[in-house]
Amino acid sequence: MTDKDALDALFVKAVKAHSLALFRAAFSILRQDADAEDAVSTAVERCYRSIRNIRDWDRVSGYLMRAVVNASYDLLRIRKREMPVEAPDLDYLSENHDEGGPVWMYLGHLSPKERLIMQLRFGENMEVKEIARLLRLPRGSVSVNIGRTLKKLRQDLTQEEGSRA
Amino acid sequence: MPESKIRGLIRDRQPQPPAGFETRLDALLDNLTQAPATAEKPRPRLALALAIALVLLGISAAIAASLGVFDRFAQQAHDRQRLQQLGHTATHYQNTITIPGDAASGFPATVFTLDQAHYDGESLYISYQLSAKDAPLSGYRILNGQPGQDMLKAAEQLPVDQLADILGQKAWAAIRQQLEEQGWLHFHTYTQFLGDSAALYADTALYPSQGSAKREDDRSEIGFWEFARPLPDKAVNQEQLDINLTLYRETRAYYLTKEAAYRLPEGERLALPLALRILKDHAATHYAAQGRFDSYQVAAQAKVSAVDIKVDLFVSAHSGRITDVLDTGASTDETGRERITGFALYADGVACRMVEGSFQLEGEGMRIQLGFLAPEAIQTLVLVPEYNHGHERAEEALTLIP
Repeated sequence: MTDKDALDALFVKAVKAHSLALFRAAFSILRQDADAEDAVSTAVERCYRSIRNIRDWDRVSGYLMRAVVNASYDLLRIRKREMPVEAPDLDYLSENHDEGGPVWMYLGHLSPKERLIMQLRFGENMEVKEIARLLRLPRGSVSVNIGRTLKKLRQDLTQEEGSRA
Repeated sequence: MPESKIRGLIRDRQPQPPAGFETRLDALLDNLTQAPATAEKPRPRLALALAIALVLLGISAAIAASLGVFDRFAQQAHDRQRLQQLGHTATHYQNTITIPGDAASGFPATVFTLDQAHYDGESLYISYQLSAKDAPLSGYRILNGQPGQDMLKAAEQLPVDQLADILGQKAWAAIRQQLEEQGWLHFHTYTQFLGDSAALYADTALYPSQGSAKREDDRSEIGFWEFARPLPDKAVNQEQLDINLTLYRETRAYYLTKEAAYRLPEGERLALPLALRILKDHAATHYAAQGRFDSYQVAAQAKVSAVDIKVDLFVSAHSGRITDVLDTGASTDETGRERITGFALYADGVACRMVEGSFQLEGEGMRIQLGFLAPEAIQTLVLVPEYNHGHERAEEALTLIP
């Protein structure tokens, strides 16, 4: 097995192991299936181009996740320049997540950063410190963001339950 | 609804990738890995490269040491010009607060320095440095003895690589070496960080909207925050703001064997207040204008600060359908009509560089918020719509009046 084959095998294994988490992180920012998939593909290509620079393969999931976050924000910036008018995929979220519908509906109202942090914390079960390192934010900022978003969601959902009753 | 239920709902009902996602990803990986390897670029001779690198390092370290925190972030940030402007505009304080060390936990005596701040009555920015003399701000300490069975029963098992992330590479390497020698390790980490939720003014929270922090080579931490606008009413148009930040000191205990890692139910978090006084150093100027044109009307407000120009626009179409006049990028228009794709801002005839923008539907119109870099002195501000294919329509220019 050549050096290239060995690196390729490690890379493919890492991407496959984390593909779902990468998609979900991208989706939490972009809220569109197609865009999230594009962001993952872009990130995978970018990381592969730098495959020889990866020194610590134990941390490759972090590199991939960081690349996905960057690619997602790049796409988001392009979308903003194009002035999107429709709230994307809110219907998808409510249709596809019956019991969790309201949660995902209200997550849709949060900023991309808030959604990403919630996804990483509760979807991927990442530690605050890991999220802070990944997103290059102060840890306090991540903790506060989570607390504030949970409070916001609780208020929205309590209101929703009240209006249903 | 309890928070635990919300957490559970988020965790359990996550979006699924569309059908074929894995197959397409496999195809991409096949394409990437089957392409022939590209030849590596020839590397300059090592000795020469090293010599150049050392000279550059010396120069950049000397420059960095003489720069303020905003300027140091401006060297690498994507919004370089705005941070440079902040470095130029914001007041230099260099006020320090010393927080005593705690030998039992490992915390060194720590100095918080308010480096610069800018407050113009409506926007607030601060930059700071956290440092400890001859010691890292955070680290770990080995504890005597193994934790008891009760403690281990209540512990949370962690993936070992997660512990590596928590500790950082250097500390993790040292820990692993000690683990090899002893077979187990009982230790606690001590970390200190600035909590940005605790920027309080008269019991009102000021939330940061942007910011960054990083560790420097000298093991200090530098950072800056921009606080979300609008500021709470109480904090608007004051001559000075007495705000409180919070320095958190946190310890957490871990137990590590060659087979597993555990987070123990020990540790504490202390919140230490840091009181700062920020003086108003500039005044913001407001501009406004309204216009009514063939197919739409627009109301615009601009706030010009020493750092940037924030423009708030509300556009509505006479037809009632905003997509008749704004190209949203979300729908294809096959009639070929011209629609607005953006707005350019001119200060005294010179185009301002846009640094941020957001758009959202509001009733039957569109609320558009744009941020531009501010030139040093401004007499006139003119907003011009840009239509498809990038051309501006001068007859629809809107002159904003102070």
